[in-house]
Amino acid sequence: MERTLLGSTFLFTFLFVSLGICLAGIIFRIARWFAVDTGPEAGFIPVKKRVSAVLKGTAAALFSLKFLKIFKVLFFDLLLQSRILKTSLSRWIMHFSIFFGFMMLLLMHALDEIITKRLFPGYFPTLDPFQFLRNLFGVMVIVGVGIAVYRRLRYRGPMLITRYTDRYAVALLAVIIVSGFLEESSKMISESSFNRMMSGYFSACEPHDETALKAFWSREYGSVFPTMKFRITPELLARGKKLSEESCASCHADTRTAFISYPAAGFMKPFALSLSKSRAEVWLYYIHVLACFIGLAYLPFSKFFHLITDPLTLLVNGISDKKKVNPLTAMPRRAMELDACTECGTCSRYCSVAPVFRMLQNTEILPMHKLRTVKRLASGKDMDSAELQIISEGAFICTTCFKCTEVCPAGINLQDQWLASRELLSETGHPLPHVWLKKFNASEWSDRMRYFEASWKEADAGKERYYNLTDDSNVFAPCIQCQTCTNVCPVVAARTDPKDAVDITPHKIMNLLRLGLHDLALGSRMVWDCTTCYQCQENCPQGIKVTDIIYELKNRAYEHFKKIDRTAEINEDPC
Amino acid sequence: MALPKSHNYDPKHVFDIMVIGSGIAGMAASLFSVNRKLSTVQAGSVGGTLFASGLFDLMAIHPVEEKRVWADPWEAIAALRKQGSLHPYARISDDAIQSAFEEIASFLSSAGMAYRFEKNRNLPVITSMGTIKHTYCVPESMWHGVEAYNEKAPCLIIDFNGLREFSGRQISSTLREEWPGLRAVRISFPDTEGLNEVHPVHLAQALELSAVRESLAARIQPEIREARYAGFPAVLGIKKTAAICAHLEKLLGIPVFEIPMMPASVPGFRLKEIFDSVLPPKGLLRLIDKRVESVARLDNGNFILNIGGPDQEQFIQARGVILATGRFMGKGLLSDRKGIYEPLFHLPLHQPESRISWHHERFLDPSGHPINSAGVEVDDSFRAVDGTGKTIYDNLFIAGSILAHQDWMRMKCGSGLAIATAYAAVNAFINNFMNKSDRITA
Ligand SMILES: Cc1cc2nc3c(=O)[nH]c(=O)nc-3n(C[C@H](O)[C@H](O)[C@H](O)COP(=O)(O)OP(=O)(O)OC[C@H]3O[C@@H](n4cnc5c(N)ncnc54)[C@H](O)[C@@H]3O)c2cc1C
Repeated sequence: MERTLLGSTFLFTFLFVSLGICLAGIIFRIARWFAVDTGPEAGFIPVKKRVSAVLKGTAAALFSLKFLKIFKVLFFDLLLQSRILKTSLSRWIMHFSIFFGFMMLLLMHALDEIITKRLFPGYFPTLDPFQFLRNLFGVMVIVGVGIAVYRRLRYRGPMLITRYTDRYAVALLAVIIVSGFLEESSKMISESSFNRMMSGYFSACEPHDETALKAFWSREYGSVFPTMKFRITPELLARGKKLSEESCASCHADTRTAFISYPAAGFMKPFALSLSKSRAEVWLYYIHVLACFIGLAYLPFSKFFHLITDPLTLLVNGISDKKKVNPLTAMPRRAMELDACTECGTCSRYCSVAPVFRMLQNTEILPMHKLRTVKRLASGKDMDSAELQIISEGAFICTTCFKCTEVCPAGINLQDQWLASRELLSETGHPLPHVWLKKFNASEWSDRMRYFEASWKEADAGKERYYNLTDDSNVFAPCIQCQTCTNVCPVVAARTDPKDAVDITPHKIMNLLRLGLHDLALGSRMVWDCTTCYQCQENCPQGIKVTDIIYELKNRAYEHFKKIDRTAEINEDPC
Repeated sequence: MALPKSHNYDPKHVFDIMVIGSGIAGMAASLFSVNRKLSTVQAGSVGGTLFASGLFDLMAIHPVEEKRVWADPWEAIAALRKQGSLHPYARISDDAIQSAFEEIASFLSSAGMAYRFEKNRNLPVITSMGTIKHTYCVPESMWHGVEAYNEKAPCLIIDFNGLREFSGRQISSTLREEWPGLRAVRISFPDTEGLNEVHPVHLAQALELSAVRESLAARIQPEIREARYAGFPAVLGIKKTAAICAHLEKLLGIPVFEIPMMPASVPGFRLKEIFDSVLPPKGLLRLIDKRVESVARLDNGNFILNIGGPDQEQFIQARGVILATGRFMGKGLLSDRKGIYEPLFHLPLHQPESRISWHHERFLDPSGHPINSAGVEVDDSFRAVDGTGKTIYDNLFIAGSILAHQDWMRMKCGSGLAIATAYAAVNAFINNFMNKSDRITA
């Protein structure tokens, strides 16, 4: 059987089919970036416009003087992966090992005909340093994958989720690398390979030359000749060494520098005969190469797609102004970013409201989960109202503090994703609570509450966890209605537009509580616009916890009103 | 006196004096203490200061039953003394009261809130109700109001749409007979058109901006006509009142003045801001919003004061304490079924025999109610005494409205009493305790 790739039509066909699938897949996925609707401009910007805007933007970026920025992104963010290093050294070691090992194997080994040979005219895969480096890079990938698997086995929780895509990616990588090593080892011990090489590149001058060469190789380079019996003498070895230097050394370095395959070959020695007979090295070669081709075809649909999306995202967001979002290019960019997420969980680990998740157990608070949901929303998946309500709640808890965007290794502008998806949510009738709250004024809410009271009384019994101030009349009884709280309130001061004015000011809220009119206090704008600056509480001459009370009312209102709101349309007029 | 930076509420660190309460009396006591280089710590919530109208009464009405108004406060105080009253003023000399006022006024003036008073005369001040209040010491920003009233000069009172607590029309109609030249106008404060309610502190904050003053002046300008004074509700800024008045006077071309409003008002806010921001740099350790929960006395006589609740306990050790916790509103005095009591030191109180005799039968009885004169009795050094007149602790001094035998609200002596007794208490602490005590004081 021919041993080179170029001669095999089967492999060639396989390669081209894989390449075709890969290219088609990439084109398909990139094309989708222009079709998916995200954010408030959704639907208003025709695909054509999006394409031309992106092209224009790309051209503008290329011809602008942003080289330094581009270089910075390429060198630090891509090559050195500094964004991962910023957040975790161990994760950087893991990812960098895989990335660097894999890329070097791809460029120097898989594409050796095209790249390595051109760069190093004397290149031969079995020569050093190539042989050594190949083993080194292979080890790097294995170590990286090992750390990745270990992390996932050790940590099980919402911050790091292992999905099928992760398993496939790891399995494929493992098959490629392990089969590569095994192929190399089995070739080392294969008698038939040795014979084939010998018949091609060696001609014996003396009768014992063949035996001498074999003796030398079996002693020094780990070759195994199970069918041969010879007595190794120093003379024989010396002759073998000379012959090897004359005929083999130009293409073969010491096999020991293949520091993984060589010891592995040692382990395989007992099975050398059967391995050689079954031509194991050829089968392993096929497994190795076909696994690579499958990986190629699978790339656009797998986690490996981030090899394309992440550099692009890093570049795009690295050179564009995060504060000024261009609506024309925003949608394709957002769609690309959705593909760039590898669900590494960094964002969730740095999320400043993650502690709220621990309280509420709503995973839609965690950025990693949220982005997946945004993806589902963008792809137009049907979600029921209850699900949307949960999503809206999660989105509401986000403070858009920018931390997730700061740490995302893929450079995704998460901030913008959140803002855009919030708009989408409100368009689908699930705006944030402080928005839907303004649907009714305080007394309308209180009417609705009374109307629905009966229905949620039973459901809610004993459910109220964290309230205690507003039920305790001692808390607000000392209020003397001096209005200091209202007087110092910056929210009241800031609302200069009568339409927007605070309807029930802090001192009036205290009065409503004193009068037992909790319901009316709940729906007031004050409760929802309060910035919790604590001015009122600090200045209250009676030491009433005004801010704490208002904050509690807000939580209480949310708990109650979200149940009412869903049915509000059906019962337009409850009175 | 600079605070040791490492203090960190170490109960072993000994302060000279702890002032409990941050009403006018507490603030004045803290000022006098830091001025005298005592290491001072003070606790208390915003409290009464916010309610102060900004006017410092000395003494205007006596006896309460007759509602006799005195033109000269010193004469009123002299009358008190002559009748053998136990009023705290009877234990302080006129000179000391005068010095106390001067010290406070010069402090406030250096902090940007100047005061004016005349030596032997109470000043008539228009109130937001249109009544005339007789007080001793007025903020500079209200001074032209006193002049305008004295001259009965043509005067324009401006009020604002949505400002609930102030009505120019009520003032002018109440004073019409006495002061025909008074005219009221209601306008919208810039940028509040259409609002149902506006709030004094917000207006004051807005007026700190010159653009707002200019637009306000433009609205008032056409209304001035014959008027020679312009009176505003007391909202002319918080920190820069003097500059704001000057600017408005320039824009309007006539003197302007403020009219005190119902508490809690902007001038009270100004006082609070000054005390809060200027005293700590002078060396006061101010435990803002902290209450003294309980007190213990060490063998060496020093007090250990437990600050804050059980969840965040802090302890302060001090050689002496000035108790200025006010009466019922400040919670310096509490009441239960048996009567009233002082919760921190459990001091014996002068109080009516039983709850029934707290009040006279008629709620609006002009002589006030016996409960209004209840409180802590003291010796000439303002140390608390028991029923027999014996000093209870040689290092516990009392100041302000918690003192017995005064009805500041009816006698119109609130701030004066607070300031003068704080002055007397701090001086007594130094002269009769620090300098005399054989206890180690270093
Ligand atoms: C509505 C109103 C209008 C007024 N108008 C005028 C006026 O026009 N002219 C005038 O001269 N005076 C006026 N006053 C009076 C003046 O402002 C003072 O309130 C009065 O003299 C009493 O002062 P004080 O400091 O003794 O007590 P308060 O002002 O009652 O202060 C007591 C302080 O002690 C604190 N306190 C109590 N217990 C504790 C504790 N355990 N630990 C720590 N802190 C504690 C409280 O928080 C409070 O800060 C007015 C007062 C009021 C209420």
